[in-house]
Amino acid sequence: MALRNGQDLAREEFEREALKHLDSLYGAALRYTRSPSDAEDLVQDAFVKAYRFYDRFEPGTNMKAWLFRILTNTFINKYRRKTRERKVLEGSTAEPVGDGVMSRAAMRCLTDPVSEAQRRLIHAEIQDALDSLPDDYRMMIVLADIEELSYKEISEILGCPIGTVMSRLHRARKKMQKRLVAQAVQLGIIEEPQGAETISLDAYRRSREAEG
Amino acid sequence: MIGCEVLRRHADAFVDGELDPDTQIEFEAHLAECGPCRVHLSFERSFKQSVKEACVEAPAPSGLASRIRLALDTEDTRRAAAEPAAPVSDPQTARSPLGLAGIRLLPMRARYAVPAAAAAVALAVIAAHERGDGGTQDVALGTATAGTSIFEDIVRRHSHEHPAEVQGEPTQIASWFRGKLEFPVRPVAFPSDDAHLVGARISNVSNREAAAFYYMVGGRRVTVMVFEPPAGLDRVAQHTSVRGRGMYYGRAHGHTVPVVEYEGLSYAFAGDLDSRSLMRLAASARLDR
Repeated sequence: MALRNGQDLAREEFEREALKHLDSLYGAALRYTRSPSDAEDLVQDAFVKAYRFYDRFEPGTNMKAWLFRILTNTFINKYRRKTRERKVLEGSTAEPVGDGVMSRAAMRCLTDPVSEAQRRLIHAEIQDALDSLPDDYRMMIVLADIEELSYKEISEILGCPIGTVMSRLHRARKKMQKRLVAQAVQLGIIEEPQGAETISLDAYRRSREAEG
Repeated sequence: MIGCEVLRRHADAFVDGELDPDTQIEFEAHLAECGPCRVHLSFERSFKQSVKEACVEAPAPSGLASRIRLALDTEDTRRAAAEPAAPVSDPQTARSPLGLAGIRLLPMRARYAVPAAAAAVALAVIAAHERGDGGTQDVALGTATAGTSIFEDIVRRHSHEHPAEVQGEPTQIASWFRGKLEFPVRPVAFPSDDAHLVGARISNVSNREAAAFYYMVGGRRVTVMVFEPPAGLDRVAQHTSVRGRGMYYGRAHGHTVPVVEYEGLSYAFAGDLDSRSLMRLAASARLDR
């Protein structure tokens, strides 16, 4: 049949190499956008963009990180609500998150859930906590904890210094943990909020009321 | 020896495996002796682990890969069009003597004027349906439905222009298929002088064997996929009647795919025609004797 030209080969190679990461990219897009249809559009846009700039990809370097950079930038530029959020996070008003988010008893309890049912409950709360994070924080958790990319890779994906990656990731985790603890108290997974200084008083009261 | 405070401050880096090996060893020495820090660190580690577990990747929807391939096709077309010499968007080039290999995929949703014909009520319904959709982001009838991908699959196979394995007269093509598939295959014929069978190949639709017949209809490519009727087609497809001929149709990527049944086999039509013309074409198809 017809001779295959360079572009056909590039297309074939691109499909073979890039589509390997489709599930990862879709998973991340779903976490970023929190909407299946937006996630599909985002992934498609990212693939077309990657294909368009495929000649700029350096063979032998990390294809997954490269695709994630394109996906993340596409999300930042096109899909997320507004840049308003970022200013709040980077500004001096960012709420300081200390170390003492919770008691040791609470930590032990969340580290080793006693039952499968509790574990599932905690997982559901983690998903909610992740969804409730601001975009910048959510991206951190997706890249560091779900995709398990290194600080260096994340800093390249986001185009920010490693120090920023570290502080943002720390804040993101503490924010999620704080919410998780409050929910766990409410659900009665954590029975006794010792070290109540760090736990939301409201959640504590609600839990007492629930016990009744 | 490092203290609790240093360890807590760098707990994230420790859990993420980002510490240099020396510091890592110091941390571990501290942890061996400090119960509170152990609780702290194992919580951080378990939290990271739980986030990963809680957010296990759902696999991408089944149609997404083919949707991306179609978007890449469009990108290829766009690129080819940007190169001055490349004959792409002129429909005349579709009559290239090279046969199928020389035919480029026209941009999606190619439309052209169709001679006015008696419009059945069903077609008015389709036209209304068509107006409602927008652009290339068009997805089929809800990607979550199991049978949906069948239409995407058919459109993709049409768009990919896989080379014909056999060319020749309809009777030759029919005999070429003998013994190759689980079911006897015959190509359809159209009353219009403008429609010709140009080739065929063994193919596959949603993991079931299929015969793909390639036609040229008024200079446009039309692919007819023949396969054994899948269960539940009625759940994912619309039913209609065109010129007295009952048919199902589904949509994917801006294409309408009519499906008619002849002698217990499904014939699905994908083509670079507007949906009205394609449905009329499907309704006019007859089995070659």
